[in-house]
Amino acid sequence: MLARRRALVAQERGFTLVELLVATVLGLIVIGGAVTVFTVSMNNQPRINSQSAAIQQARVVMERMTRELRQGSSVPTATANQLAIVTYVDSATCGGAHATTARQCRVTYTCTSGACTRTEANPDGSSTGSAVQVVSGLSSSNVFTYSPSSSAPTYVGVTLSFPAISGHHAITLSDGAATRNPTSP
Amino acid sequence: MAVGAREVARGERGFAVPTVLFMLLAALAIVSVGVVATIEAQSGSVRDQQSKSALTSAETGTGQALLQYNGGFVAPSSEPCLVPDGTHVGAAVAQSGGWCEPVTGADGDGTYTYQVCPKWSDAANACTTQPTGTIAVVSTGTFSGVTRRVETVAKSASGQSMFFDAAVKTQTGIGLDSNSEIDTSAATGGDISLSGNAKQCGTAAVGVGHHLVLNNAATYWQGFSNGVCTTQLDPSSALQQDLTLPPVNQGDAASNNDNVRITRAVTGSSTTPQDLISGKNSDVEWSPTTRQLNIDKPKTTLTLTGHTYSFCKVSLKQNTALYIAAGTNVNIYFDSPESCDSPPGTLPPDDATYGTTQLTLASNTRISANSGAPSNVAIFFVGSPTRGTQALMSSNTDANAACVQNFIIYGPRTHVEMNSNSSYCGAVAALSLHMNSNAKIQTDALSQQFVLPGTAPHYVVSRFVECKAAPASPPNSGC
Repeated sequence: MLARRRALVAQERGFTLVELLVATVLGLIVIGGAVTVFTVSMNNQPRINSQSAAIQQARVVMERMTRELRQGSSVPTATANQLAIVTYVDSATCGGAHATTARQCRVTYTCTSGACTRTEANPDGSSTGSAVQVVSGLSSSNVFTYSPSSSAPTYVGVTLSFPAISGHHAITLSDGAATRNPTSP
Repeated sequence: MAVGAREVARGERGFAVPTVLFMLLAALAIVSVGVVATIEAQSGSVRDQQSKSALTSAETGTGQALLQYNGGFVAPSSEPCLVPDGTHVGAAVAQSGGWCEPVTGADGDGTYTYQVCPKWSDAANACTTQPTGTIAVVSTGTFSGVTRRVETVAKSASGQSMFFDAAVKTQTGIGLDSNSEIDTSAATGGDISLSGNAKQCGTAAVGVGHHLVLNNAATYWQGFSNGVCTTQLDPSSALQQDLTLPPVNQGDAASNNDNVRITRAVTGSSTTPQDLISGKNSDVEWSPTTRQLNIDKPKTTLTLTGHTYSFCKVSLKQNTALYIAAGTNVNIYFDSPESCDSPPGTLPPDDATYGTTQLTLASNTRISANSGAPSNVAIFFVGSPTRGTQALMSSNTDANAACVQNFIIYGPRTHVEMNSNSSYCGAVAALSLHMNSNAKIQTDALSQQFVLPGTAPHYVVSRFVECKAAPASPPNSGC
């Protein structure tokens, strides 16, 4: 038994220097790669978060815009960066507190410098409320398109474009709606 | 333990297994982050798509409901939920509150449930028990668990009293100049503009976002009594409301009518019944083919004895008159300009602004009852959404000015122009109205109660609103 143990000890060669060097280099490469990925992710995360939040916000705004377009009637202002539409909103008064019954108001979206604001007023444009920013970070303020024409539109298209960030692709959200209510003159 | 480690070392397996495991874990973590982010992003898109599908299903339900009611059928008051095929919308009797019972259907992968209020009141914004000519449909669409609910209000002109709240109605606007006057309530979907001592003597309603505008000594009064306007009002007190004038449904009047009575009168036929001409038969120019009637020989009159006439153009000049036989109910239809201008050139546009003038009353002409006995006269203009049409009254013309008939003009696609001392008594609904130079409109109670002929109901959507998604009671709650 003792002789066998001595024989085994005599055969122990351990790790060679080459093995240790290769293992060290491989470990450094793996760790370096992980650290690099982690660092890049950390650096990009604020911008990615910001863009994700903007896109999520844009999604909500798009839903709201198309809903108001569907319920719309006349379109007093129809340009590429501004849309005014008489539509139903759930407000006690135009620009006032939320209510459970819809009433007709003039809603105006104005887009400049990559941000859009929303304003409520009476249908004739009087008693304009304060402008509320609904989306920002757009790459273009030309958001609205009209069909068949801007003078008498029955369909309004909405396009929200966000610029490419840190090698990511630019993102564009497109939607639109036909007005369901009769058009007032 | 030391022996075990040595055996591993002696096996010379190196770091292969732990290194691969570590790299797999690292890769899995990185990929998982991407997958989670992608799923989150896609879930938003899926949700958006499901919302649209649910909305489509809801609108399908609305369409199904309107199809039921556009079937050429008027439900009896005892069974307001009865539909043309003999079945009912829901149950035979209306639910509490006037709503018919829910109807459920499928639209592809989505489902819808709609409820109909067959007697909807815009003023009360509620279901009523009195006939209004207006129905409301609340439809709920569901797709993959996502729900959307919409409310649609639709109106029909057929079989309805259109003038109970205002004897003058226009779709796009009313303009009064130079001492012209409306001595009854007026409503429009656009602006009412008064100028040059013009008067609106009766409550005024303008479109949502529109105004009653007074210029140059024009005035707005609450009412008209004993020949004078009463209680002056501020123009800002004018109501704002939606106004929808559904198109004319002339049924088969273009082919099934009493025009032959005119032909018999003009040709001197002995066949009866026929209309009556005072003076020479040849003084009345009539083409049964083009349906154009022209009376311009001084003091010539034509008395209509039938009940239904279909014209493309009527022109009266120089003290001529179109009389309605005493006690007769007559419906006069002016066909669409497309139908009348066939082949092209038969009835071309003659007015640069308003298109084709289909009715011309000029130079002391009149339409009236020939004996003063009350009769019901309704003049309908089918019009066109693409070609303008006009009714012109000028130079001392008189359309039932003595108020001896129940008289209406209904032309939701036709402009009405009155000028130079022309007078009208009755109710008028038009695309637009312009009055000038002492023109005057009055009304009487019977004209305001006038019920449009009961041709097939055709409901036109006047209000579309998206509601809160959850079903509610009454069905339109939250809309």
